[in-house]
Amino acid sequence: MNILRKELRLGFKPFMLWIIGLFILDVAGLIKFTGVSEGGASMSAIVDQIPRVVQALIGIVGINIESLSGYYSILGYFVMLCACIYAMFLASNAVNREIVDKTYEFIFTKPRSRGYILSMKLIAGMIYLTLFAVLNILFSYAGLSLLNIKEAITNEILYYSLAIYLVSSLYYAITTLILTILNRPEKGTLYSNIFFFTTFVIGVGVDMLEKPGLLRVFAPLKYFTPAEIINGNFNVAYAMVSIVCISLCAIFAYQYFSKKDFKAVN
Amino acid sequence: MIKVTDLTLKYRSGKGVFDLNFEIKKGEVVGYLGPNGAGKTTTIRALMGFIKQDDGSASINGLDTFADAPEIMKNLGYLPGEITFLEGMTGEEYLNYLAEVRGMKDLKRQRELIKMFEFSPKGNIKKYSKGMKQKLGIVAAFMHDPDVLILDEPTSGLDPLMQNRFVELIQEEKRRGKTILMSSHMFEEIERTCDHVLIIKEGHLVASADIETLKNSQRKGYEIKTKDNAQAVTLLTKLGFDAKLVNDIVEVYITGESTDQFIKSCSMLHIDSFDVKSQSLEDVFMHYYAKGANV
Repeated sequence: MNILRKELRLGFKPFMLWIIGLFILDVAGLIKFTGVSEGGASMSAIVDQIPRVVQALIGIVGINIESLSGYYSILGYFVMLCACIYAMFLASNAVNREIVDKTYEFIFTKPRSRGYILSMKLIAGMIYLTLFAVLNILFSYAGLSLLNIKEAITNEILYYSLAIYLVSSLYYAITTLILTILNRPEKGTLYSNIFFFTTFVIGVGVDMLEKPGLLRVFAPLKYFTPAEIINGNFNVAYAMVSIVCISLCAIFAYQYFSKKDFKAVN
Repeated sequence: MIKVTDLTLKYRSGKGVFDLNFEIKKGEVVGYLGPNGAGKTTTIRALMGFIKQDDGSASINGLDTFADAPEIMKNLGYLPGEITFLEGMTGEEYLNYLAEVRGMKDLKRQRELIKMFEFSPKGNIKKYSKGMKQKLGIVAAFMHDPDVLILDEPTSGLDPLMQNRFVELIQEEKRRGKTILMSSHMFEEIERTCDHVLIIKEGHLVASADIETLKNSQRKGYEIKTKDNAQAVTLLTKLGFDAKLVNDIVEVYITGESTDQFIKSCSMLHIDSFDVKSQSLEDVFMHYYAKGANV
């Protein structure tokens, strides 16, 4: 258990920095809604003039920015991006920290299996991801309480937070797998960034198309769309896809990790 | 206790270790020597289960070093060649963390070692000197009283007094029946502590013998002073002997079967003094480094 405690301690400072960012995004972001909603039709007109590809890049395709739920979905999208990037950072630390900073000769010379050590590290990461999602709910309500609006978006907040949790966990699992397979830890950040960027671009493509079809499977950022959530639907099918992918990635990650060569990065 | 059979591990660069075969019995202290890049650390990393060999096998106490590493680690102490510590800890916190992971309740041995090496584990490790970090690493490796120890350049960074303490520690562990594999460049320390020596060069084991056999089976050295040392060197070299002039003394190295021929050759010289040169393990070692001959 003290490996878990050590991992939590090492991850605390970065977690606090991310949470500060999340707070600003949620609370300050929601406070800004007052100004946006008062803009009225002019805001919608401005958004409509933005090229679709740009709308897709910033996650506002098909969104009514004047409604609270529409506006919140934009915040939700950016929170999801942050959560996924944070998840990749956590995965990188879980798999590669000891190799990159050359402390593997101490952690992996203790009477604990590689699987156990990896488990403790991944659990620490999941704890932080869970807290991130929970705090997203709390900060969202905190931001809402500062707005003098009677409209309730409880479902949207809960669904978005669950979506953020699932999608960030998926990126966590996939990044873990990529890094356990790689023989060159120093390339870990590069390849996981390439993976993220690729799925982001595919997500943009999904938003550009009227009927993206199977392409959406390769764009986890688009598993849970604003339109679905605002309509009160949580896409259970993609939730199952996420869970299955997370499980498969975890299984293979453990297998690869148990056979991985630990070589110091020069 | 430690058994390596046909161990081969090859990196992409082509370097590695090839067909290593050796066995270290219980209670033996074995020195593992070789020039930089010879494969000592690669061998140690295979024994520690950090990397899996391409061929052959390695076992400690009958357990496979890769597949059964966690089981082996219960009773193994390891000191890496380059020590890197976890961030943000004091020495005390670090030792307590290790003790917790190992489930150690009795810290008596830890305290004895700290006292022996005269250092205080308080203070942030970041601010420790190289020597203090080395001492911390030594305490960490020995404190759970393991039966097997693998030490990579254990006295690196230690002052002469602490190097001596370390030798005393090894001698004490040896008396207690511990099995130790020690990689080092400090010949005196190897001579004082080891029963047996393995020498590796370019990934191949070039020598494996006990200390005394290694020294005695090698060439004997003689120091001769003559009326004309330079001429003496020329003559002896022409006759096929390995002769050189060092500090105005003729040094000659011969194998046992050449002794009679050598003595007869010396009769051609006007000799002022004739001494047997005592051969240290360093001389033996340097010979293997230079030629890579096998025992």
